[in-house]
Amino acid sequence: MPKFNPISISGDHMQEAGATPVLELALTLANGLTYVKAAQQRGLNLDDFAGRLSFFWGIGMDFYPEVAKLRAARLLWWRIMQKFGAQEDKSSKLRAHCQTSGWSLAAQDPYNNVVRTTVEALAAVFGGTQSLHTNAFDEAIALPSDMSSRIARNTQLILQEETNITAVVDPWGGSYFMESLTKQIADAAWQIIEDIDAMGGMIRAIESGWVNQQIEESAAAKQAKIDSGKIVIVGVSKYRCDHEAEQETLRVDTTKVRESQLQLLSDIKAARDCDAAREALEAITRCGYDGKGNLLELSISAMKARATVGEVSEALEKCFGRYTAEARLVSGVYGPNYGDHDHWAQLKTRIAGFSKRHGRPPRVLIAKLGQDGHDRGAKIVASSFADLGFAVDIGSLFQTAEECARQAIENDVHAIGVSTLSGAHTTLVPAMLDELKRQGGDGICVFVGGVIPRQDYSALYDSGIIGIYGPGTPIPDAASGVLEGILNRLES
Amino acid sequence: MSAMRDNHLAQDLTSKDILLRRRALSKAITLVESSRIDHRQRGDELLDELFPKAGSSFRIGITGPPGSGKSTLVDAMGLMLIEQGHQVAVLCVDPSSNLSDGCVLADKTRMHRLACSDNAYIRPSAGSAGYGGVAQQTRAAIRLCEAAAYDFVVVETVGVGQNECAVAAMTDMVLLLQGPTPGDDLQVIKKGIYEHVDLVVVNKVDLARAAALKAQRRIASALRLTRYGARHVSPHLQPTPRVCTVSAVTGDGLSTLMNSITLYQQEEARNIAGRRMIQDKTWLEESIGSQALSKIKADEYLRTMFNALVDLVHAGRRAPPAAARQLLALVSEHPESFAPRGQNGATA
Repeated sequence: MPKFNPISISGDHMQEAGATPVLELALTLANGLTYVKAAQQRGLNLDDFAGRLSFFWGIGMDFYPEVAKLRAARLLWWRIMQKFGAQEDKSSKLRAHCQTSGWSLAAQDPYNNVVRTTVEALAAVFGGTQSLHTNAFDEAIALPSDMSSRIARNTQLILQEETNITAVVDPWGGSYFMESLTKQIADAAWQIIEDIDAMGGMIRAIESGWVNQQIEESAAAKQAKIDSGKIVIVGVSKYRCDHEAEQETLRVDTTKVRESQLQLLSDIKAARDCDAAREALEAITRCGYDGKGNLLELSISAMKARATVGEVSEALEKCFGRYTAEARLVSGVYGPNYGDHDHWAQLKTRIAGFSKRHGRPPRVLIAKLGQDGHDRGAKIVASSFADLGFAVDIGSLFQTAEECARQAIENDVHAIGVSTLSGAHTTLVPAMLDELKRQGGDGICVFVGGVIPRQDYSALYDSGIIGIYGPGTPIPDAASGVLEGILNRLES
Repeated sequence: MSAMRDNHLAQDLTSKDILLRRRALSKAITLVESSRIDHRQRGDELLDELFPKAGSSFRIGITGPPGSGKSTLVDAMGLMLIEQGHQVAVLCVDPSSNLSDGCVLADKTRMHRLACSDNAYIRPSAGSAGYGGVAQQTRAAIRLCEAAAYDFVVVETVGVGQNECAVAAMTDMVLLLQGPTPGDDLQVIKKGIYEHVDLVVVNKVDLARAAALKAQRRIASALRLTRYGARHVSPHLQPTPRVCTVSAVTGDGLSTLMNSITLYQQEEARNIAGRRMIQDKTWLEESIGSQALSKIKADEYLRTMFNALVDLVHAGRRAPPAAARQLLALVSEHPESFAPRGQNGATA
């Protein structure tokens, strides 16, 4: 299959979750070599598939390391593939797609994001990416509008067609600085790859929680440095804008979207040959149990019989179970990296005072609701709140409002923090409040974090929540606001 | 006002309305976990009122090292028990984290299916300093669950080490879970942890069947050796624990495991009854100790004396047992200091 792209081996999601460029590089290549081993174990010949593997990097604001990371990636992949005994040139060549960082975009003064995306895109081009995704400037506030999407696309076109920067291959090659940085990054990443190998490989490293822990530690440390001003974000941690104009954003009626999707599903189910679909799904489950046959082939025939993605997943889940990431959190990273020790200590004292007065610390449930797996913010809030003295419960990903309210009541928490980046807050938050009322938990406060457009603030506040903490809110401010809200509720 | 509120709580806790019952149980557990004396007093009274209704569950402790798959197993077991008509309560206890320092609590993400069932209740708790600590709180929480009609109580705790002993002191059966890798079990054999275990489960047989079966044989023979000597000395010692292999993810071996638990319940019924009597007596004794201490700390004069004795012990001038004797002598000389007083004092 000369033009089939079997997999895009991604580091982007790890950088978005908080990994440094070095960590992203190492973990992604370790994943890549695990895929290669697995394919070889299934009897595939290395040179038959290796040339079709491709990679996917995230590109953040730290310009030089991002360029060097892409250069180092090619070097290391070549080294790895030589060890596997690749014969053909193509097998050792690393092809990559890059996406500028969504996490680096700020909700405050959002036009600045056009500049951020441009600089990141430039790093990707200098690093020699094969293809590129540039983000829209309003993605920290809402789903992109037509206007912001157009500017994102034009950013690429301007770089490509007005500047001539794509005319040269590896323009930084030979620069002493860039060559030495590339070597440093390659060496550091290689060390991590060897460590993972010593742990028994990437699968064991993931299962043991080590990988998550590395990423979260690096995310919490970075957040603390931003909140204390050690890392500058213009318009957020420094040079804030006094009067921000309200941003026109795309509005999505999430209830309508949901209904139309459900309608589509039921239309398909009504029109298909149900027996054929059921048999195709049963064949998948059978193959999962006895290992006879090819799951991919069976999935394709199930899809052709108009089985849904959900149904195919369910058929696989019957024999393999569902993977749930263990929400084991790092602790003790945010606190020490937060520079303003007095402010931090003061807040800790206030929370300790609460615990003494009320017989237990303020207990909060940090929940991700709906179909949205972006949990970097939720995890940083959870781990830094715990560092401050909160008792923190964590909800599962993709929880429903009903499940979340129940968990809050069973754990008898003071407050629920709902994190949502999917734009579904206008349906999810009211559903959450209704569920709390129905199940007898109306004493529990609710606060919201994630991507929430300004124009939705007043409606959310009117519905009775105690705070909204968008991207760029320093953790201590959020913690102090939540504590205040809990105390007000307890006293009334 | 608080008495009235708790009256409500007792009523709700035994209500037929599942939402009322669940909420009341949660509030009641918060009371017995509180570090405030007045909360605990309310919790103790509530427990006292409900006590005759409690005691009818089977209590099982599940312990094992991090990553051995405890929550996944509890999820699978819980669902099977519910299918058999049981009401299942799960208390996740993490003695290593201390509530007063802030913590992330054991999560329910690996018990997703059970967490959604109407016939289950899951409550994660952290350890807490003082007032008998986690042991007394968990005992109280178990009884509250029983009063709320949960007839199968699972106490899940992380650990390889002292926790097995603590869990054995509050449950009818301790199940030790571990992974199939050699070395997972070697540590356990070395530390003598099997002394407190009634059933060993080797998990993840789906990932490494041969290794798991090997581990099963290795553990079984190690157990026969350790128990052989002990049984010779004390014929009343419980029998050698069974060793099962399961996959909590695929459900392989699960029904054998459930049968082993039922079998244990039947075979060991007399031992379990005896074990409970010992446990309750220990609970009473420990309560006397911890309450006496909190009374001492609540009295100004005695607290001053206590702190002075702490200083002397720290300075190396007094030995703790003799210092305690002196303090208790003071208590009997000043019985008025033990009289009931205001209820709002929070302990240090």
